[in-house]
Amino acid sequence: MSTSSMNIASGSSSVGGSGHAGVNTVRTGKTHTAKHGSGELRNESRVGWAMLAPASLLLLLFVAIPVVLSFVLAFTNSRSVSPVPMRFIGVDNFTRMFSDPTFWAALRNVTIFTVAVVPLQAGLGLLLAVLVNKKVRSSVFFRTVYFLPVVTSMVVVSLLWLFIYQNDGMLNVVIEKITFGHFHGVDWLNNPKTALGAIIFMSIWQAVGNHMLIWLSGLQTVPEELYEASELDGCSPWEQFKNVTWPCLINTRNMILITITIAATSVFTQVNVMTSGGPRDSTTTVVYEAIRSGFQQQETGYASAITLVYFIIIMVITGILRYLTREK
Amino acid sequence: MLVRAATGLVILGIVAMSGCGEAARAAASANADEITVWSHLAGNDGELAVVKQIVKDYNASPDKKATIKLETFPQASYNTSVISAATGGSLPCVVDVDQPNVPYWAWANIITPFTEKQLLARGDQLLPSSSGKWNGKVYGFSNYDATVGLFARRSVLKKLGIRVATIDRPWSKSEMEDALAKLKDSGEWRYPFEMGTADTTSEWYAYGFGPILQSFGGDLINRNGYQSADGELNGKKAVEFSQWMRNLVQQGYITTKGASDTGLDFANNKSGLLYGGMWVWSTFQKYAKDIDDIVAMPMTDFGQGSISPGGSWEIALSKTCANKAAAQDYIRFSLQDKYMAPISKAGMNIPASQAAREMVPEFSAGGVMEIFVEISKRNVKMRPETPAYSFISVEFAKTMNDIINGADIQASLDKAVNHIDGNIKGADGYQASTDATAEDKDQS
Repeated sequence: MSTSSMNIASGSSSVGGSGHAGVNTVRTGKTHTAKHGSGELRNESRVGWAMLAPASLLLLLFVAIPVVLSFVLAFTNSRSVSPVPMRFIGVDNFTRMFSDPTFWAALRNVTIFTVAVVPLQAGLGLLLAVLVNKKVRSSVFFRTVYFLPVVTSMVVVSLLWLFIYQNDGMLNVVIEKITFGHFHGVDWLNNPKTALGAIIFMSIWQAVGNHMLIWLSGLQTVPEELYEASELDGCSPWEQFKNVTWPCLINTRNMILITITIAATSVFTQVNVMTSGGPRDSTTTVVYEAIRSGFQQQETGYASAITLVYFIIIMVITGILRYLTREK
Repeated sequence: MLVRAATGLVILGIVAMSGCGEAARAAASANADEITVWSHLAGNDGELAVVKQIVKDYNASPDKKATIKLETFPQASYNTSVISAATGGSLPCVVDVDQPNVPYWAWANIITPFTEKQLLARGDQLLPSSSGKWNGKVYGFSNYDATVGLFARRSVLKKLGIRVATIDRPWSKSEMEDALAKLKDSGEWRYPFEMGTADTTSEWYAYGFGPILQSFGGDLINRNGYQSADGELNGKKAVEFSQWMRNLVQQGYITTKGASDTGLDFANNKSGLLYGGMWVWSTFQKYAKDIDDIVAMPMTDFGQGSISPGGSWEIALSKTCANKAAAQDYIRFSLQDKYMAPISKAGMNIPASQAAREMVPEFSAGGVMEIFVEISKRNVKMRPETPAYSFISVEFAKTMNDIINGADIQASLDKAVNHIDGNIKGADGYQASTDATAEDKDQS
């Protein structure tokens, strides 16, 4: 999440920069005869602050204050409505959390989910991007097709796959037909062994188009001359990919790695719609547990403790990723 | 992130609303002859039409003590709306409340007990399960109640030699097991018994399976003081109940994830025996071609008698109401037989008064739904009347779903008890606040 806010920040600073220049010209045009120096500079910085203000205010209201509040609430017995005054209970919420097997199951599931989704989704996205980047007539058609699940709401996609995965759903019927009735599929979402896998598969299918598009934008920044040169040198397509495309994609790669990782660790919608964390905690996730205890069971304090731990996990992962992908 | 943002939003909302709340409260006391009524019925056209009629009639009545203004919410977002209004102090005078939430809302100072004698006297004429109580005080009355039953086809029972259970002689545990075995052996259904196992997110597990647990001799919580679930939810009887549920899955009688619309499934003969809410009857009326063949029966006696749940949506008085006398006058007005009959019929629920039942053919003597009146009168045990209930309900649903999916029974039950006891301790035992402190809170 910190990356996305960084993107916003860097984006707005560049916009602010160009805005600055524009204001500057207008000002100098008007105050032609005015003395150069501190007055103008002050003016400029005031405009700068004014431009920064809306975004900062929103970030403060919806990011900074809630973060601070959840830090504080995590050490209290706060509830959404209660006549009992809120009081600090030390690390009780954390001891309860760490002694709860459901929380560990949630952590385990999120880890499995992330480890499976990040490489598969990034890899498949790259493969699709390379394929649809070929200048053939149908490439726009395929780009649209691969992108379709992304513009569909995750809730809708989850409901559709819920029907597909049902015991007598489409998937099992297809399996039965193509094996001539020799093999009957399992009740995918209702079997602790297959439920998480089913959700992983469907999540990759849903989001792969999004990353295909990011890869594609990266691919199109690779200078054409490099391909021409490598062709003259007699490179095979694979060598071309390895020595030209891949090194040129370094920035795209880093961005995709971080965004997928963060998105994967915050998986919630699919679980909420398809399995409610079951069967036997096999699909529950950290965010799902936080929402369950915070909203269904109205234990704001405990839910805050979960989000605090989640926040720290995301911080550590992002830190590691940024260290690994730093410019050497 | 999402959660943090959401928590923040809630808190911001609270901060923002406490400002507006003051204004709203000032306005409310200034304009005490207008009373706002909140209803959860948005989208439920049949029942809402009756409520609108009540409001219209009351406002047109010469004896009215205030003008009623009706505001409706969809059921899914209703509780959240009330809870945020309560934190902001902008509650209306009259609110709907689902019966199991009555203690929680009473504890949280959202609703206040009825005081008017005539209103309380009217309550005495209604089914006991249609009033919401906590700590010996009455907080809500309902126009109707609902309960559950077993549904089967007479022809099927006859063919397989299974006795039709009656209110006086429900099936025993072994009779039910025998019936399930026969249904399974007939080979007509993959899973002959449907009991709503797919419905893990609503009230159903606690509402529907809690009574079975009680019939085995366990309970969701120790009802003596409501301080702990230890020994009840994880005792010998609860383990027996859990094993019985697990056995249903192992024998292939039920699936751990049943139909999403169990009534429709049964109407289409996709299951041979259904355990469900009496409201499935309206589905049968629409879709079951052989509705005359369908028979409703009470749930099985597992040792402690046949036990059925009760409690439905009720009408209650908010603590911040500026004109409590007028509000209670309206509530009494809305509980008349002439409204009770159509509003109950709209949802196929049991009218709360005898006179209203006589106005609905299905519920009068000899009607198809008469058995539910008997079940409701004789077999109902209310869900635990404690503010901890909403927590218990979520915890129980998760635990039972884990268990039928093969989780270790004793460990799962112990875990649920730990969580429930922890929740109760965290709220200082959900003790009723004395009125003095409540008033202090009002003023702050």
